Parts: sequence; C-alpha cells; structure tokens
Amino acid sequence: MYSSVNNRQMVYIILIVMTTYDVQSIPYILSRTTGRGGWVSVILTSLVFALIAVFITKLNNMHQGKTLFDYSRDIGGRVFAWIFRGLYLAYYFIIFVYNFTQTNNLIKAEFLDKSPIWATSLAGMVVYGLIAYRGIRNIARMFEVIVPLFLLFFILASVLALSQGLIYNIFPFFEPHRITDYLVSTQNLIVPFSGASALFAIPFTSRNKKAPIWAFFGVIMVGLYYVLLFEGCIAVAGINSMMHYKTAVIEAFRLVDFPILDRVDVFYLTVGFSGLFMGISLSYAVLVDYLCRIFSKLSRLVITIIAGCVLYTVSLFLKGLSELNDPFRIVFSVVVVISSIMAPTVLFITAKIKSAVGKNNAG
Amino acid sequence: MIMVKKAIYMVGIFALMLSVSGCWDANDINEASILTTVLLDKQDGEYVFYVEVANTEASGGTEGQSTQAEKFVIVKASGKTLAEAREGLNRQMRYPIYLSAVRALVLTRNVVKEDITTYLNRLRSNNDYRKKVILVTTNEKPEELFEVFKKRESVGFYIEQILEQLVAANQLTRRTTGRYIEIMTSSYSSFIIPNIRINGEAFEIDGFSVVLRNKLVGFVPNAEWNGIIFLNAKRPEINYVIPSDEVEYTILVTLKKRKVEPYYKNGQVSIKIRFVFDAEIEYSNGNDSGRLAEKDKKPVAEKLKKALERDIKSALETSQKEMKSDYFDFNNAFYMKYPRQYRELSWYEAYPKAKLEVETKIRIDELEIFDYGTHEIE
Amino acid sequence: MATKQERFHHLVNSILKLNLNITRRTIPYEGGRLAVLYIKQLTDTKQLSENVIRPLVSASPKICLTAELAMNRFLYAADCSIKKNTAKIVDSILSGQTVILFSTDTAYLTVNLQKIERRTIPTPEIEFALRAGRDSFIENLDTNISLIRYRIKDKNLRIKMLEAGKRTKTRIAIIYLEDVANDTVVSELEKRIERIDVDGVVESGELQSLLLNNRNNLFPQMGLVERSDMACRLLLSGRVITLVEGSGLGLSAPAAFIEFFYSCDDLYENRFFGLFMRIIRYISAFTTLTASSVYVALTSFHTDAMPADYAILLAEMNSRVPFPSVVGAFLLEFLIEVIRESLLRVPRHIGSAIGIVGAIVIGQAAISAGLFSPLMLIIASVSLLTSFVAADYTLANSFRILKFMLLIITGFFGFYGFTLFLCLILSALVSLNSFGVPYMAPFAPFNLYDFIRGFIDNTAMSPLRMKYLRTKDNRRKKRQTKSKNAGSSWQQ
Repeated sequence: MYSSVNNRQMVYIILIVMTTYDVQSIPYILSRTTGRGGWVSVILTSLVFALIAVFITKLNNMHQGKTLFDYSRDIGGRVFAWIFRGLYLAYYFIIFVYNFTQTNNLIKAEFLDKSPIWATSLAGMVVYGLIAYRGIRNIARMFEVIVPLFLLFFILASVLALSQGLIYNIFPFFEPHRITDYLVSTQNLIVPFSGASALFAIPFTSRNKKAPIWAFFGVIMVGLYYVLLFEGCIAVAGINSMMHYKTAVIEAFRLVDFPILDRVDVFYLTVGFSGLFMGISLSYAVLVDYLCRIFSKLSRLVITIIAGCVLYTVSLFLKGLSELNDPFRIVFSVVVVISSIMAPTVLFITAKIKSAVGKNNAG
Repeated sequence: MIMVKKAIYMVGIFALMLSVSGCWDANDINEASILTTVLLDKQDGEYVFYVEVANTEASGGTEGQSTQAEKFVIVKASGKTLAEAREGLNRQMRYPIYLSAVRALVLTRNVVKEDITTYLNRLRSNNDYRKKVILVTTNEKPEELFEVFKKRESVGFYIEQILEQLVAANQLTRRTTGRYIEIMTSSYSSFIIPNIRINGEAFEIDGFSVVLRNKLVGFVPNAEWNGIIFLNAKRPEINYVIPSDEVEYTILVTLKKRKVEPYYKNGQVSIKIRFVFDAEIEYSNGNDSGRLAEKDKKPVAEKLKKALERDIKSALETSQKEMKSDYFDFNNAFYMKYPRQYRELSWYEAYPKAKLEVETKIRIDELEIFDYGTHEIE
Repeated sequence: MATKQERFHHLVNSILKLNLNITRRTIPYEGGRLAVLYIKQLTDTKQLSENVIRPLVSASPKICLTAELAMNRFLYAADCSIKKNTAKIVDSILSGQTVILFSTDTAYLTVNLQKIERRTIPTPEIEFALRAGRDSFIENLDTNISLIRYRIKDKNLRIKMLEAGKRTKTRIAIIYLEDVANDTVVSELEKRIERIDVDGVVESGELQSLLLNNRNNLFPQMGLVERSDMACRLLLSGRVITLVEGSGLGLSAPAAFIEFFYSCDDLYENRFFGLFMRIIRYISAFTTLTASSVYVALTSFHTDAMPADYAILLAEMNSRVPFPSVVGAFLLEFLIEVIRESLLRVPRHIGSAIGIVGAIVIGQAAISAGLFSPLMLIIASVSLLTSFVAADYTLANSFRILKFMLLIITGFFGFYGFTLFLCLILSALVSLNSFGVPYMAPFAPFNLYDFIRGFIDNTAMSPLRMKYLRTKDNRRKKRQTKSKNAGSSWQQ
C-alpha cells in the first residue's frame, strides 16, 4: 500500500517523527551536559540533520516512484540493497520498540501508575495496528489535522512557560569557554533528530521536486521548536530541576499557569500524545510496508498482525528483563547513528558517484 | 479468509476485553481524602503531620451546603521518620489520600530549623503533589492554627488567598514550592519563606523565615517589608508618608525599574543596585488635600529618597551582615555576568563580604486626574 | 393460426385473470373492439372519461381504429405513446398508466393519467432555516423535479431516470449539471444504482445504504437534502442529486465531512454570522462526542487538572452517588437516548407529557434519589442539545454511537484511552472517500483555498467552486475587471 505524500505532509512527518523520539528528555540531557547554552547544541545538530534530510529527499527525487527498498538495488546492486534493507528493517523495528516502550513507561510513570503496562500497551498496540494497516498516506493525512494542534499547544505552552519563568534561569545564554561541551553534547541529540529516515519508506513523485528545500527548513524548524521548548522548560522550572527529571517537559508544563485548569499536562496527554501515537503508528506502518515487500505473498492484514504480536512481545520482554536494557540501548544507539547519519550519507554519495559515472559514460 | 478474519476479530475482542477488564486507575473524586493543608511539625524528636481533609459528606451532597457542619477534619499522625508519620496518616483515612488539592504547605520553625530538604525532596518525587503549592512557615501551635476558622473554612485556601492577593497587589513575589526546591538543589541555597501567625480570627504575614543551606537561620520581621519587597517583587507599590512643613503627604511609590549590576575585580564582588521610582502624591492632611508647591517638591523628594534608601539598605544589611544570606538572588545576577568566576568562588563566603551599593532616582508628581487646591472665590 | 380477435381476447383475459384489480372498459368500433385497462386507484378517472373514453366512444361507430389513429386523431390526453411489447402491458398498468388494446391492431397505447395521492408541498422538518425558502421535497418524484426545474433553468441540467427494485421498480432520478459535475461521480452513481439487485427500494435511506463503498461505515457518505433551494445550491456547486420516488429526502454526492456542517442560513446570511455558526456547530459536534468522556476522565482519573475548590464541591455532589462516574455517565446517556427515541415514536398529543415526565424523572428525582450527580446531568443535557446543532442529523447519529464507545474506553484508561480512540476515529475519517472525494477534504489533504472558502467564508459568494470536487467547470463567476470610474456614476 505504497502512497506518496506532498511536501507539506512530508514536513509534518519529519516534525512528528522527530518529536516522537525522545523529546521528553531534551531538557534533561541538555541541562546536564551544556547548561543554559544547550540551544547551541540543538542548532548545530539541526544543521547536520537538515543536511541529512536533504540527502534523503534528493535520493528519493533521483528515484521517483521508488522507495529505498527498490532503489538501493539500483544504486549498489543486490548485496548492497540487502544490507541497507536489513539495516533499515532493524532500524524501524528498534525505533518502534524504543518509542513504544518509552511511551508506555511515560504513561505508567506520569498518568496511569496502577494500570499494568501489558494492558496499556495492548490497547495502544491495537490502535497503532489499525492505523498502520491503512497505510502511510492515511497517516500523513492525519498529520495534517493533528500537527497544527500539536504545534499550537507546544508553542503556546512554551511561550507561556517562557513568560512565566525567570530570566535568571535562561541566562547566560552563551558561554564561550563551554563551546567544547556544546559540540560534545550534539551526540546526545542524535535520537531526537533522527526521524528523517522515515522518508526512505515514502516514494516521491513529481510534486516533490522541491522536497529538499522543504526538508531542510523543516528540520531547522524542528530545531527552533526544540530550542523554544528547552528554553521554556528551564525558564519555568529551573535548570537544577530539569537535571533530575527524565520526563522534563511534562514536569515543566505542570508548573505553567493556565486559566481554568490547574494542570496543563492533561493537554499534553491529549494533544501531545496524539502526536506521539502518530509517530509510533508511522514507524509501524513503514515496517509493515517493508515486510509486505519482503513477504509479498502474505496479505497486509496478516503481516500487520504478526508484526504487531512480535513488537508487542519484544517490548514487554525488554521491559521485564532489565538486564537486557543496557545491551539494547547500545545496539539502539549504534543502529540509530548508522541509520540516521552514516547510511544516508553513504547512499547519497554512492548515488551521486554512480550518476556522474553514468553521465560520463553516456557523454 | 472469512474464517481467518472472524478468528482475528474474536482474538482482538478477547484481547481487548482482557486488557480493559481492570480500570485500575479509576478512582472517583468522592472516593478520595482530599487534603487542603499539610502542616509538618517536629515535636519531641518526632515528625508530626497535621492535615486538613475536606469533609465531603458534610453537606449531604444534594440539598446545598450545611452552614453548621464542619467542612474540614483535622487528622494528626506522628512518627520517627516522615515515612512512618505518613503511614500513620494512611491508617486513619477512609479513602486514599489525594494531594493535588493541597493549597498550602505549612512548616513549623522547628522543622525548618533542622532540615527542610527531606520533606521537599519527598514532595518533588511525588507526582500528585502540585509543585505550585504555597510554602509558609509558622511559629504557632498547629492545634491553635487549625482552630482559627473552627474547621468551617480551609486554612490552606485562606493562606493561599492572602499570598495571591499580596502578589496581585505587587506587595510580594510569588514563590512556589517548586521554586524553593529549585533553589534548594542549586549550588547556592538561600531563600525567605513568608511566616504566618494568628491575628484574632484570621492570619497575617508577620515576617519572613530566612533559610540558608536548607536550614532556618533567622527571622526578618515586617519592619523590613518595604526593603525586601523593593528588592524582590516585580513592580511593588508602597505608600510612604513624608512630612513637610507641618503637612504629611501620603505618597504612592512604585518601583519602575530595578537593575542589578554585579562587578568582580581582584576577587572582590561588588553589586550595584539601581532603582527608578515613580512617586505620586495621593493626599495629605493639609487644607489643600495634596497639592504640592513647586518649591516643596524637591525637599519632599529628597526626604522620600532618603526614606527609600534607608529601607533598602536596612534590608540589605540584615541579609548580608545578620543573616549572611543572599535571598535577593544577587547570585543569579552575578552568575549571568560572570559564570566562570561564579563557579570558582563560593557565594556563601563571597556574599557577606560583597560591596553593595544602592542608587535611587525618583520622579515625584501629583495624581494626574486630581486637581488640587481649588478655593471658592470669595 | 389465431386471429387477431382471438389473440386480443386471450390477452385481455389473461391480464384480468391476474387479479390485480384492473378495471376494463370495452368500446366497440367499426370492425373490432378496444379495451381500456386501468387501475382505478392509480388513475384520474375524470381525465380518463373526458380525454380518452369520450373521444373514443364518439369515434368508434364510424371508424376502424388503430393505435396510431386513435392517438393522433382522437385522444386529448397529453402524454400518450404507442407500444408493441405486450410483455410490458401489466407493468405499465401497475405503474399507473392506462393501456388501450385494439383487437385489430397489435400495437397498443399507454396513456399517462396517473393520479397519485400526494400531499401539498410542506415546510421542511429536518433542514429548517430562518431565512430560506419553505418548500421541501415530497414523496412524488415529478413534483420534486419540478421544484428543481423552476429554480434552475439551465439547458445543461440533466435528469437521468433509472429504476431500482425488482418488485417496486422505484424510479430514481439522478440530477446534475452536465458541464459542471464530475463525470466520474455521475457514472459511478449510475453504475452502482444499476448494480442494485434487491426486491424493493422504498426510501432514499435504503438507496443510500446500497450505494455505499462499505456498509460497515458509521459515517454518512452522502448528504441528505430536504429543501429544493439547498438541492439547487448543491447542483450549482457541482454535486449530483439523487431523488427517489416515494421519499421526501434526496441524496447528494459527493459529500465531504465539512459539508455536514453547512446550513442554508450560512449561505443566505452575513458571512461572519455563517462563520460564527459553523464554529458553533463544530464545537457542538465535538462536545456531543466528548463531553461525558471528559467528565469521566476528569472525575475518575485526572482529578488534579480541576481547580481544587471545584474538586471538593464535586466530591460533595458525588458523595451520595452509589456507582462510579463511568457507570453513571453511561446510564444517564442511555436514559437520554431512550427518551429521545420515545419522543420520536410517541403520539403527538402525549409527547409533551413524556417530555415533562422525562425532565422530572431524570432531573429532579434522580438527583434527589442520589442516582446521578447534578454536574453529570448538566453534561448529558448539554451533550443532547449539541447533538441537535449539526445541520445534517445523520452525522450526529454517528457521534451518538461513538460517544458510548469513547465513554467506555475513557472509563478504562482515562485520557490515554480518550486520545487513542479519537486517533482511531480520525484514522477512520481520513481513510474514507465519498465517490472519489477524500472525506476530510479540505482539512486532509489540506487545501488552503477550499479551507478558506469552505470553512471560513461563504461558498455561495466565492468565484470558484471547491477544488476537491474536481468539477469540470471551476469558475462560478466571471473575473471582474476593476474600472477606474467604477461607481462614479453613483456619486453624481
């Protein structure tokens, strides 16, 4: 059920998928590693990943109507194709398990502490499966409804937090002697920015000619959004508080004053989580699309169900065996770094070289 | 295929039914013990909790609220540790404790003298507790405190309203427990907490408890209020009465701007605080009801300036020399300008030795809408 | 070989033997006889006597009549035709036609003298509007078509007549503007109607179910049209109207989600008022769906979101209620649905009594008995009222069902379950299409022009038609060139 998307939907995908990955812990990570100048790390990382997004979109544009599954073979041959297919299959699988587990842990820790994780996961899994079954185009359309609300809520909450916060918590804005810390801290932001790889699963058409520009500015916009979020959180909660809360964003939003309601985190649970669910559903849908290509004889429904059962079991298994979590984290970090930065770069360079060689031969 | 689909639907429905058979987190609001005030005291080496619980059975629920019944119930529990005392509370409650409605957290000076961090850390780790809850100290006996309203009105709500009202009137800075926790966990921990006492059938704020390194180090009475407010609050407005030529002018002084400029030279910390005030003459006890002649403006302004500087300097002196405690956030201003130097020195030692300078500017005028000193033509 | 006379007698007798309550009037003429066959209940006997029997009787002694001669020279009836297929005679009689058989001619005549009991054109009952025409469709197809024809006099207005239902042979009219409507929609509609294989279609609602992509869908994919002005408005915007004989409600296709919130008032009133009312409708639809669930989530799961003093008041109000808020909400919503349904069925004279009983029973008595919380009652009442605000009640019906499902899932998981289910509903909405048009257009896929024209502005005044309809002719108004002297004549 391959479906193309337009440029606006593509930017929404980038935004939601990126913010699904670990946005909660951005203030936590940055306050520990960079202090108040964390925005520098965010901007630097967003520039790098904006470039990666350009590579990915240019690759898709060079092979219109195809996804990575198809054009990896055109670029590097069969073996090359299977390496990358396997890599991204593992990537989407791991990303789903990671996000799924994180979301369920977040729900248990912050909102529903008595509900067992297997129950909340199961309810979530059924819904993600139903949404993923309908395909990427459907999810992209859902983004068009959800993303404006999502952005409105987060930007409003961040602006409120900034206005209600203390200026002392934000300054000094930049410390020149900590520039090394800012550069080193960019490695901690790889996961929150790695969502552009989801575009590998979406075929581009002629209406996506300007996608590289949209993608570039889309990622920069995500970076600016992270900066606003980070500054809002530390303004209202203070950098020392943010250092201690892994779910820093929710904790900061709880301090924001809002008319009528005593706590703003219920909006996070509705609007914020809808974005989260969409991001998870998208990785599920991408995984299902990939598996449908590999197991073309099975129906999409069967693949969705089997994939769902496997993902669900693995997530619960990981939650249950805490000693596995550290190895999982290591594998996860390695796969994410390779899939988000190295693989797109290698693919792009290889494709460019091949195209140049092809032109020379033709000339 | 149809059989497969049917099987899938049945499994799905069964799975859903299993997963939703619990409603684990459902807990209706009427099945919770709603706490509105938490008071922590230390008596004879034991932690004692006094909590004010809303009596939701009082009104009968449907026919309107009874004015005679007690709307709140006070529950007391003690223990050697906080956890023990809390367990004691749990054993007395009909329903699970609900903390999100707590409006005020009252710590007696006995608790603050020893260590404020344990309970605030406990509060931090509990998601139910709102971090926006008001924190006050008191020297009153807990039983007397809760008897002021004879349990017909909430002490916590009242205290919160006093503070909110003062904040709205620019008479106080709003500090929530979350903010205190933030300061407590930073490298320099010093702050003031409003102190309440019983005044007849109500409460009043009679000063501030000063906390340094998470322990009570002193008490600043209301006499220092003006200075503290000018140094802490956003745009405070305070009335001053300035005599001049047998007439006493009541002047509304508004702080327009406060700028804290830290300097650091040769290991010496200096802080210059510049104030810009707007002063409006509201009224006087003279015949002209408030009119100030041009020739009198300057002397009145001078007197006012002196009065303001006296109050501010007195507050600064108390903070620096007596309490040795920077509860005006000068450390943050210093950190903003000299972050590296701040990390190298110890503000606990630097602040008491810092040079503090105060500079004030005043613009004095009459109230715009009022035309002073008109006489009937004789 | 049977003679013509014998064949004639045999034919007439075989028709009469069917016991279809057919009346026969035999008139002899020179060299033969003719039989006028009709059903009294379906025929205007006065016109029959005046325009058919009288001229035939006066003509008959002198001339050997044939079908053609009778039609061209003697009959006064306006709608006559010559037919030869004897297999269709009974069908014609059953559909209200008068059939004239001739013993000396194999051809026969059908004369349209239908007299169907019909009511006068009523005021609309579902699509009521303050400022709009008061004529609405009735059960008679011809009358309905006439209501459209007198408003749209364009030569491009096409009316295709189809038939559905083996036994009812219900006439269905597909009406559209040929140079505007999307051909795919028209052909798809025709195809689906022709594919219908049932014994009868008596109402447009049945037809609607038979035309759907997927019968398991909760959301309506065709709009309901009761008013002729609204039907014309829809035709002008590029939609196709389907009218069914015997039904006072027409269907419009394609229908996007946004269109179920349009009312005639929006088009005829000031554009700002239209926007205001549309916002009210959207909020009302959302309230219908979510009010009770939000109440349950806030009182049972996320009570810390409420202001503390109100939480105490709510606890006091709920202290006597014996069951959890989700059960109370479910019961109350169920009770309200029962009252709503009973008000539809109850005879008019005692309807008001039921309303009063319902209000008293549920209102005062239930609260006094401690069965429900007053706040819950207010929320359920608001949810009921807001369900009436939607311009098209078929969408509100979907929300009424979804409301219960949302209530259940929220009762188990609080706002988490609430959000999950809303995402599921959104997923279902965006995956739908109505005859090729995405159901959630212009929200998803988003189109700025359509969004401004369809949601914010007045569609009647816009120069272009909605792009998501993919009409043949996009332009409604000519481009206006601004003249320097425009208006100067007014100033003189």
